[in-house]
Amino acid sequence: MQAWVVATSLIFLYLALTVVLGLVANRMSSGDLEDFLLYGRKAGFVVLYLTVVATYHSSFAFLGSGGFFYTHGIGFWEAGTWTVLVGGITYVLGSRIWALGKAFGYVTPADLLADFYESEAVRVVAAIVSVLFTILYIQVQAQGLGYILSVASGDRIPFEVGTLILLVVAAFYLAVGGLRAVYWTDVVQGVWMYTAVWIGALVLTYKLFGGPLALWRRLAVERPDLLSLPGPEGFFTPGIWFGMTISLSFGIIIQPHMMIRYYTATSGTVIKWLGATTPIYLMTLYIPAAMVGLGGALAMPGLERPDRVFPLMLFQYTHPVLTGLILAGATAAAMSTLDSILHANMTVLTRDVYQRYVRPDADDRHYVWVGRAIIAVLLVVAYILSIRTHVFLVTLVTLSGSGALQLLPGVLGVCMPSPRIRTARGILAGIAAGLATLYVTLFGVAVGGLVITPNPLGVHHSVWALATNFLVVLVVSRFTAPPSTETIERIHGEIERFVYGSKNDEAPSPPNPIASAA
Amino acid sequence: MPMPVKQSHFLPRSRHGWIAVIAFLGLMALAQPPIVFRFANRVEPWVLGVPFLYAWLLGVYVAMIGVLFWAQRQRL
Repeated sequence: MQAWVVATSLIFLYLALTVVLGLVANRMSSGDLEDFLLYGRKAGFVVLYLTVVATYHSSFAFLGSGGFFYTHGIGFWEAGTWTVLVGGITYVLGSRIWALGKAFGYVTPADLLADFYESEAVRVVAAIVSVLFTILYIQVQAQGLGYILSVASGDRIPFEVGTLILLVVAAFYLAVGGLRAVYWTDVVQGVWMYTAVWIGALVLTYKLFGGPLALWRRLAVERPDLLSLPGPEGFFTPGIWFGMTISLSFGIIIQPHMMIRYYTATSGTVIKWLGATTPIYLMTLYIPAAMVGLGGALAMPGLERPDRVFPLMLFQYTHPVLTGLILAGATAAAMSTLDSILHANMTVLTRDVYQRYVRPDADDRHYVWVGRAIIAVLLVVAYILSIRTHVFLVTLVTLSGSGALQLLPGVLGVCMPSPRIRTARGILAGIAAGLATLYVTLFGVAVGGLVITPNPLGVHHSVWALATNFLVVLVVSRFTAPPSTETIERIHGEIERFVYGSKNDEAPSPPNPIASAA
Repeated sequence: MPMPVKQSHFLPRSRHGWIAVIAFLGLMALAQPPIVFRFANRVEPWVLGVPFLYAWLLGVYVAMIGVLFWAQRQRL
C-alpha cells in the first residue's frame, strides 16, 4: 500500500475516534450550562493534566519548534524555561483563579475582572481582548491542520478541503459534547502527540545518526554554530531570550482557553499538582523536537520552509505506517489547541455578551443552543481566515502572543492582594497603553525625527508593552477611585482564606453574587 | 466571614515559603541572561555526551520542577 494512503487513512481513523468521543460526551451531558461550558467543574487531575498540556502545545510545538531548532540552533531549548515557569504560575496564580471561580461562580476571565473592579467597561474590554487575540490562533491552527492533511495525502487533498474537514470535525464534537468532549479528545490527543513526537524523533535519530549522542557529536563537528548562542542568525539575544520567557509563559496562561481550565478543576490541590507536574510534559516535548530540528539541519540542509522538516524527514526515512501515526499526532496537537480556543471564544461570547447584554434571563438549554450557534459562526470565520491570509491578519497574529498578556496587571490585582489596590480606570488605561506600546515596539515607527526600531535596545516587544502597562496602571490607580471596600474584602478575603486560612478546599464560601444575579 | 487583607501576597509569610520563592527565582536566574549567555554558553565540557549549554539548562529545569514538587509536599 502506498505511503500516502496509509498516512491519510490513519488521520481519518483518528478523526473518527474524536467524533465518537464527542457523541459519547453528548450522552453523558446533563444539559445545563455549567456542564456544557465548564465540564460541571468536575475535572480531575488526569483529565485536566492532559487537556492543559495538549492545549498549551499547539501545532507549533510539533512542527514549528523543529523548524526553530533547524534555523536558530540550541537557543530554542530556552523553551524549557517558559514551560517550567508556566508550572510556577499555575501553582501560584492558577490555584487562586480556581478558588475565586468556585466561590463566586466565574466562568470567563472577564467575570473575574469585572466583579473585582466593579466595571462593565472592564468586562467588555477583557472580553474583546480575550477573543481578538485568540481567535486568530484558530487561523494558525486550522492552516496547520490543512497543511498536515495536504502533506499526508501527497497533495491529493487540497489545503482548503483539508482545513474544512478538520475544522468541521472539531466544531462538531465541541457542539455536541461541549467542554466534556474537548477534554476527552484532549486526553487522546495529549497522549498521542507526545508518544508520536518521541517515537518519530528517536527512529529518525537512530536511523540517520546512530542515536542522540552521535547526533550531538556530528553537530559539534559539522555545525558548531547551532550549538551556541545567539545562533547562526543571531536571533537569541539576551533581550529576546528574556522577553520570550515572559510572553510565552504569562502570555499564554492569561489567555481565556487556559484560564477557563483552572475554573473546571475539582479542587485547588489538583491545580497545584498540575503546577508541579505539567512542566515535565511541556518541557520534555522539546527534547525530541531538538533531535528533529538539529538532525534535520544535518540531513536536509537548505530547506525553504524549515517548519516542514519533521514530515519531510518522516516521508523520506521512515515506514508509511509510522509516518501516518506521527502525522495523526501532529493533527492531534493542532486540534487540541483549536478546539480549546473555539470553546473559549464560544464561552466568552455566550457568557460575556449574549447572557449579559442580549438575553439575561433565559434558561440553560437556551444558552447551550446559542453556544452551538456561535460555534457554527466561529467555524465559518475560522475557515475564511484560514484560506484568505491578509497582511492585516498576519500583523494581528504576530501581535496575539503578547496581546492577552495585557490582562496580567488586572488579574494580578485581583488574585494577589496587596495594600496598593488597582482601579478600573487604571486597568483600562494600562491595557490601552500596553497595546499601543506593543504595536510600536513590534513593528517600529518613524514620526518626524523620532525613530523607534522593532524590539528597541534589543528588548522583546512584550517586555516593553507589559512594563508600560504596569507603570500606567500604578500611576492611574493612585489618582482614581478603587472598588468598594465590601468588594475588596469579599474577594481578597476569599483569597486570604484560601491561601492562609483553612487548607480544606471544600470549606464554605461567601455567597455567589454573579450566580445569583444570573 | 471574609477577612480584610493587610499583608501583601507578593511576599511569603513562612520560612518554607521564602525558601521556595528564593530557590525558584534563583534557579530561573541561572537560565536567564547574563548567566546563560556568559558562563553557560559553551559546548565543552561535554556532560554525559551532550553539550554543556544543553545539559546546564536541563539541570536547571529539573531543579525548578523539584522546587515545585517540594512546595506542593509542604502544602505551600
